[in-house]
Amino acid sequence: MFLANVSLFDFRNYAELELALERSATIFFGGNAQGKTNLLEAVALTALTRSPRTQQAGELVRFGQPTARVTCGVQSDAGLKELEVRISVSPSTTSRASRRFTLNGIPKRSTDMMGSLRVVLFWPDDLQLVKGPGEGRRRFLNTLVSQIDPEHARQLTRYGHLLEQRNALLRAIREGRQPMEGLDYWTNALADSGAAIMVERQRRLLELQPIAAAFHRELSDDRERLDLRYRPAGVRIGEAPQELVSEQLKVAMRDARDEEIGRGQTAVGPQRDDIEVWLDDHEARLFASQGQQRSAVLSLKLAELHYLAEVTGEQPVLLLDDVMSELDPARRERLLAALQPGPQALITAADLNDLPKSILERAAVFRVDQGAIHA
Amino acid sequence: MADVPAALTRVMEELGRLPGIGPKTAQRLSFYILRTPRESVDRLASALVEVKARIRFCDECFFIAEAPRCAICLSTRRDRAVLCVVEEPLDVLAIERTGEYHGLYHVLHGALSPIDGVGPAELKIAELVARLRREPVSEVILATDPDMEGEATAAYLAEQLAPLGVKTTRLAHGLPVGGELEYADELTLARAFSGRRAF
Ligand SMILES: Nc1ncnc2c1ncn2[C@@H]1O[C@H](COP(=O)(O)OP(=O)(O)OP(=O)(O)O)[C@@H](O)[C@H]1O
Ligand SMILES: [Mg+2]
Ligand SMILES: [Zn+2]
Repeated sequence: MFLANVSLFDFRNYAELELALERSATIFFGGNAQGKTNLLEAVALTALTRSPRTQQAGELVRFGQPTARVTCGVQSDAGLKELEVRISVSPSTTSRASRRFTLNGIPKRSTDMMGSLRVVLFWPDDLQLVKGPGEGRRRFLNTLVSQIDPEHARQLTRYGHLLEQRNALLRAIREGRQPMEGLDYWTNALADSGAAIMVERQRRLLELQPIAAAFHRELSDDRERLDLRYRPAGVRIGEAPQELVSEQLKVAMRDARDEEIGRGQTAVGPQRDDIEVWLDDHEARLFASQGQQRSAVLSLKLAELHYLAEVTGEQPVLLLDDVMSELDPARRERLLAALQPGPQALITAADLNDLPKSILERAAVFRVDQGAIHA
Repeated sequence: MADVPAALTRVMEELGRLPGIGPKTAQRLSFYILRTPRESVDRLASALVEVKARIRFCDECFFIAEAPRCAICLSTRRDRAVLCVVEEPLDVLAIERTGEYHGLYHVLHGALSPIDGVGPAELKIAELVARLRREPVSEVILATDPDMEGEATAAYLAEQLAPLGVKTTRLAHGLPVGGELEYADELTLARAFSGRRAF
């Protein structure tokens, strides 16, 4: 699939923008704070229903304006689709901004938007993917699987909601505001939903692992073996069917009941999972050098791209924000080689000199200047 | 800036207390009322006073009533052996529109939701249990909404009612998941009733 056009209205520093795009690589260059990242953020927001940069949707609305709009025309095997996101803030209240979605003009829930525009985002924050906390790796997997299977996105939303309810109840029990009786139901519902997520994570990681390992082998000149190890919190999955995983979660929650009430927090479940990245016999988070970590991150991102294309039968859109300057020439070449067979790539750079000639020759190039884009 | 007269502030404050009405909307409505002819405002005010004076909740089932008992509880044509448990009075109206159900109701006035501070004690659950002990009911239909809170409430009720030995059933699927009973169309709702299953 590819992005045929983007239109922005009062989004970040863009008052109004209409941009038509080619299927080829497209480069956006310009000085700092001109709107390069903002543009890619708008595309990611439409694809994933949330900004990868902020939880506060209100920040996306241009200063002093009530409503931001992003519209993306997506050309895929299924024809041309128009995806739209509107974010509204009400200046008089402190309540959260509202997000509204339409697909071909028809209002949709956020989880029903997933999969209509699939993206792989690679930007400087991702360089922390291996080194940083588990949250980043969970988000990596959530984003990948939700774009393949919107049901996973729905399950994640359902789980998040149940978890909030259960944690609220744990706190209420601790403070003597609610009786213990009601807890079992939330425990059971949470366990069922959590088990569905965990079993899916396990399955997807098993499929992703050899692809990531192959990229890493190549990047390390055949010297290192990369392994992805799923560490589900509170259960052992192995070959266990979903019902058994759910049972394990229920037992774990019952065993931890006093501790959970004391903390007002659920102790097990997918919100605490980790996905460990290992290089040979050592966990990369703890022992890998900077260079090894960068290779591992790049391998994960290339695997994401490859796996999305393989499973869906369509190339996703690649969003590369400022990463070329972060990679050395060899890793840069590897990343560019992945663009050859043809995902559409939107690439930003502060300086065109950061980009290899080979890509400059075949890319469309735009200059970004204070919220406007010039050919 | 000139002070807002106290009478106007009071209207804004009172309107602002209503659910779904923020301060901005409360202001707009207040000025709308100022511009509105005297008779319309009188009609609104007396309607509010009258509804509070005349309408209450039924002592038996907690549906809306004009007397201690509602019209449904007082009717001699209803099947008193079946009880349908719903979250809100509006759900009763939605089910009545289908014309398919002839039993009695029990309105919980909400659903379990710890985030909103709603537990069993905040709902008419103790009243339901007492009622089932008192009355010869043979089936309880749990018709709470098909969302997470509605499901939690149904599961909790099924457990609480089990020792009473009364048969509990749940509305059949086919209702939009995550939706609200009140908005289901009549045909879907009627089907959900005829296809109800043991819980
Ligand atoms: N809600 C908003 N309304 C108006 N302007 C905003 C808003 N949010 C961010 N900006 C502005 O957008 C600019 C940042 O844009 P962006 O992050 O896209 O920069 P960039 O071109 O990627 O720069 P760099 O090369 O430094 O990464 C900042 O000047 C910021 O003040
Ligand atoms: Mg930037
Ligand atoms: Zn009644």
